[in-house]
Parts: sequence; structure tokens; C-alpha cells
Amino acid sequence: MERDTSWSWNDDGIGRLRLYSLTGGRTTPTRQLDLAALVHASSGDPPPLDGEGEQIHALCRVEARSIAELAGLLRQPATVIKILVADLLDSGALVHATPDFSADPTDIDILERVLDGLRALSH
Amino acid sequence: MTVYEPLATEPGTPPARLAAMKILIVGGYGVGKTTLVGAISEIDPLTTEADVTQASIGHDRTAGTEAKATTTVALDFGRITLRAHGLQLLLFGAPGQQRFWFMWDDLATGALGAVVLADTRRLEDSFPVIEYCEQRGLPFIVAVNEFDPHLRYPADEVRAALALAETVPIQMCDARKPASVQAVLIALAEHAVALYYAQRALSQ
Repeated sequence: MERDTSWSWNDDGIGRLRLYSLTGGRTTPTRQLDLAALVHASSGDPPPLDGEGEQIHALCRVEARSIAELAGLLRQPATVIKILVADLLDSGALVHATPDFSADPTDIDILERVLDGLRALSH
Repeated sequence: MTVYEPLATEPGTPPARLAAMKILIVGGYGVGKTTLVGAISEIDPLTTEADVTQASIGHDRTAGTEAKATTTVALDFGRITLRAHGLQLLLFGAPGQQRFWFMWDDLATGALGAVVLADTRRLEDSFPVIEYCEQRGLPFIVAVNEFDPHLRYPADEVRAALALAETVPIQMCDARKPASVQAVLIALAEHAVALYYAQRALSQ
């Protein structure tokens, strides 16, 4: 039988295996999270964490961070970060930084706050 | 149930509630999106890999099953915290080519608006994203990155070349300079506020 040479192990495949193991094989988070969702560490003692979960928790102790930022800092796809952050929210290690998750761009109060805030920046 | 806990702050100061607001910076390859995000972001700009869902076109629509494919796109990411205003602005630099149309829906949902970063040498690169913003009703302005002083055009020539409505602001900028980028973002926020009042006047 002729050997199939149309595929080979490569870094790409290993990368995917690694992502798969990070999320325990899951491909969807336990809750819907936007790239802009802001989370921070809860004030209580965190449950035991390891690996990326611990890194995310440590980053979010300093200040509120978005899914997009965590994905950039940990160099992992946003999908993986969403799965991990959803787990940390479930366990209470992280909390949302706002009750309503993100600002409403059709709310004039928010728009005017953005405008005021940008004008007040000193550059 | 929403889990909410105020951010820890200095003793005696009220807890900070931060809401996130997305702002898109969209433009063709090499137009200066990364530079613009980096000029104003309070953190070193990051690259974020986002999986986006692409509704496939040309499948049997009558069956009611929309086949979807997922693609990974690299976005520039930066942020500006307006602490006194309880906001964190999240800047997403996104490619503007037509083949990335599918991802703008994910990004545009909940976004304040878009800065279409244009290069006068390749104005046609801006057509797809302008068309998208117009169709979707997403507030946008055009920022012309004037990194080459020998290639400057008056705003009305750019407006004519892009067939832009008079109501859409055009802002000349230098994407390397924080104050210039700040002026671009202010112009976008002013435009979003103006659109809000214009639409309210129409509906009354």
C-alpha cells in the first residue's frame, strides 16, 4: 500500500492539541462573553487554580481586563480565553466589572461620557 | 444572575465601575492601524486572535440551515481607561478588506463607531468598510493618515473620491501622534452624539 504523504505532524497541529488540552476538550464557553467583556478578580480567596487560569486571575487582580486584552497578553485565541474566563466566573474567582457587561452605544449619557472623557485626556 | 463586585480602589474613594465601549479602527493593510492604536493606548498594543463566524453564502437557504464556518482573524488591541467617567474604551484595529466583512458584525455589535483609516494612495481600500458602516448604520468618520507630507489632498477631494455624504466627518491625522489620534477619536464621539440627536429629531 502506498504511504499517504499528504499530511504530516506540524506545529500547527501541536498548537491545536495544546488549545484542546487547555480547555479540557471544550470548544464553547459555559456563558456568552463578548470580546469587550471586562472582568476582575473577586476580593475573596480564589479557589485553587493552575496554569492559564491562575495567570488570568493574577492579571485581573491588578485591574479590570477585557477578553480581548487577556487573549493578547496570554497569546491565546479569544475563544480559549472565553472558555477559561467563563469557568473562573462560574467558580467565583472572577467577577464582571460592571453589572451590565458593556456600555450601550445608543445611550446618549454613555456617548457624552465618552466624549467628555476623550476631551479630558491630556496628550 | 449577574455577579457584580466593585473594583477595589484607594481607601476613601468610591468603587470604580467600569463599562467597556468598543471603537473600531478599520483600514487596509499598511495604512497605520497598529500605529494609531499604539499612539493612544495606555498599554502596549496587543495582537488578539479572535475566532469569528462566517455565515456561508450560496448554501441552500430554503432548508433553513445556515452553514457557518469559523475563521481566525488577528486584531490590534489597545485601551484607554476613562476612570472618572467609569469607562474603558477598547480599540480594535481590524483589517478592512472585503474578505473580512463577516467579522465586522461581531465587532460592530455594541461598538460606538468606526474610524475608517484611509491612505490617499489607496482610497479604494476604504470602499468596503464605508459601505458596511452605511448599510449597518454604524457611526463612522474617515481619518486620512498623512504620513507622507508630499501626498496631501484637501478634505473635499477625499470626500469626492470616496463619494462620502456631507454629514460624514473627514479628519486629517498623523497616526503616530497621540494628540492627533485623540482628535480623531473626539471627532468620532462628537459624530456619534450628533447622529443621536439628528435621529431623535427625525423621530419626533
